[in-house]
Amino acid sequence: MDAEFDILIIGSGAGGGTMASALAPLCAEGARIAVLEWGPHFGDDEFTGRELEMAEKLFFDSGAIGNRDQTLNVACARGYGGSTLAYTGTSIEIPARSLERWAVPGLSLADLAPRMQRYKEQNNVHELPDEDINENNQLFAAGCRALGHTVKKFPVNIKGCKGSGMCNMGCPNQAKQGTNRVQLPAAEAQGVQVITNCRVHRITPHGVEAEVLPAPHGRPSSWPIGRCRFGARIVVVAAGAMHSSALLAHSRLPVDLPALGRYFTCHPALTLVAQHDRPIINYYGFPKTYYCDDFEEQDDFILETCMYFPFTTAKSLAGFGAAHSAMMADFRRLQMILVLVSDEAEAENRVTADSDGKPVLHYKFSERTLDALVASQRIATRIFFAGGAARVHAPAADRFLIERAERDQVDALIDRRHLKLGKISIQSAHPMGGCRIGADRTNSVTDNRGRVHGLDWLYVADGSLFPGSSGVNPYVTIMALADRVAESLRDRWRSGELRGRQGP
Amino acid sequence: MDSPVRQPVLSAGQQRFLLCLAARIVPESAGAPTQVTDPLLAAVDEELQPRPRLQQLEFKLLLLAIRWMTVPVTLRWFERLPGERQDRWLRFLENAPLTLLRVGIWGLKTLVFLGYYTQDGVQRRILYLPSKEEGNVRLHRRQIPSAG
Repeated sequence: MDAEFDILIIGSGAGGGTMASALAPLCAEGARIAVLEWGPHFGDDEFTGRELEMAEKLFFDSGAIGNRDQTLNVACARGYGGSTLAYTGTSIEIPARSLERWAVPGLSLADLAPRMQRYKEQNNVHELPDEDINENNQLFAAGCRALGHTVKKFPVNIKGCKGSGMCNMGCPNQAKQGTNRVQLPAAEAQGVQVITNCRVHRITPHGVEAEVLPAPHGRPSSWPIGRCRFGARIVVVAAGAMHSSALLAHSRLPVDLPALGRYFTCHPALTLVAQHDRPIINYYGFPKTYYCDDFEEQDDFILETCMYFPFTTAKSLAGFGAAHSAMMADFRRLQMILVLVSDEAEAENRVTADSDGKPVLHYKFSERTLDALVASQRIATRIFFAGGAARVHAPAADRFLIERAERDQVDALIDRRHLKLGKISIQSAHPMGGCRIGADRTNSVTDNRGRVHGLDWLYVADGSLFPGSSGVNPYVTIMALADRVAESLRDRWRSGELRGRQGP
Repeated sequence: MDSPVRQPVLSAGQQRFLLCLAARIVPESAGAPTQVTDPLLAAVDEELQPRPRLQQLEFKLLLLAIRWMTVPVTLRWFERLPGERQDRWLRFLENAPLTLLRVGIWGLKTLVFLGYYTQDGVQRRILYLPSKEEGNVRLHRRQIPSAG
């Protein structure tokens, strides 16, 4: 079944959901707007908190899209709400230093700040009261303070949180204020149509070739199952950095975009685990409350608290056998720190599409990123010990565990020569770039309002716009950038430019 | 209409060998009852089924390679070696100079962990007892999770 719309938005996460809500007022002015989402609209009771089940339901490739040499795994969620279903809801604004590094003409903090503020208000962003902070987080803060590091509280976008700790599997209590809870329902109430289970195969001039798929989970799609073509005056791609880049690459657009898919960054992450001699309260309560960004500017990494689930934790440990089992034997004694490295945007790190249109990630770790992965483990290990941990597992150490008595030898024990790619689990949940904004067509894909160079009907509005890594958790920045794109489209609509033109 | 019976990705022999490797990766799985090993194998199969044929084949080749790699040196298949020597071989692969080998062992470990640590009984045993509804209630009570 085919249909015509004025604006099609591909994807419903932080970018697509924001576009939908920011453009929704145009429905009252006659605009026909649809969101096409690959994944299903899950019912509230489908967020079971079961690790394996939710990984398969929520994520492409169970949360592990590998790069070509399988040394990095990227998590990309799908479903009504996109990756906002699976994030923790930490709501940090992009720092001025990151925007300065981006150096995009016409893109300033003065422009983004009020937008970020508005979405934070919409999403009920606030800091947790102290009584809701568990020991996993408190010990990180204590360790940082003991060493003289700055520790900051994450603003988080939760409402009615019951402390299940299952944020990254989709909140079972619907407390996270992702686009599935806030922007998409508001957009639908104003007339935006959301078509779930809808995979877009190709973008064509002023339209898309898509397919509505039967889904084993979630509510049935509002559209009949089968192949379909949707026409539109404007197509907005907001399928996430990996899938937006791959979709554009697969679509054989009538313009030359030499930077398409390139300058991909992803905040390569390591989960570091320490063991205490006593049980601590670690998985009751909100999992991510504090971070330390003292090292972002000089050493390219930030440290955050985290608390993952047994399988995710087990695979984060290098090694196996008795020592590994002993670490896992009592989950209550574990403390975790997440390292996020601000990787540099390099043209060689890129997303292409395979013959089916799925993303293929070509990503090599730079020397600088590897150095940051080692330096961050040394700092985190000291923080663990300063917080009272008995032993620490650092994947770049020469042994499985560093005991407390060895804490003065951390620099010697954790070393670049022990960091072996492929042996350790380097993850990413922050894919960025690939359709970067900029003025120069040789190294960017869109202008600073998200319009693809040379095509006035095609826009991008998600994390793929980032010219480099944001240095912090990116969703608030994605919303602000998408809001800029939406503003530009609203202006075009209200000027009559889009309304006046006949359809494709 | 009945749905067709799905063939497991791994043959019975490959499954037996995978359990032998699992016993080195997670020692508690050694000699575990079928209530533990069947779900482990089922979860691994569930993970492998949607993967492209080439990836499935790569994993089978990895199992084959591990089984045979010891033969030229020891004249014995991997599973016939004492446990300690099996560990040494696996450790060698995990730290091998070739990224491909390290990635292979990481993939193997990941599948075994997936099959083992996602089981309810295992999570209870390691005292991972989360509460969907009462996490904050228990936090405020300073209630350390316990098996009782």
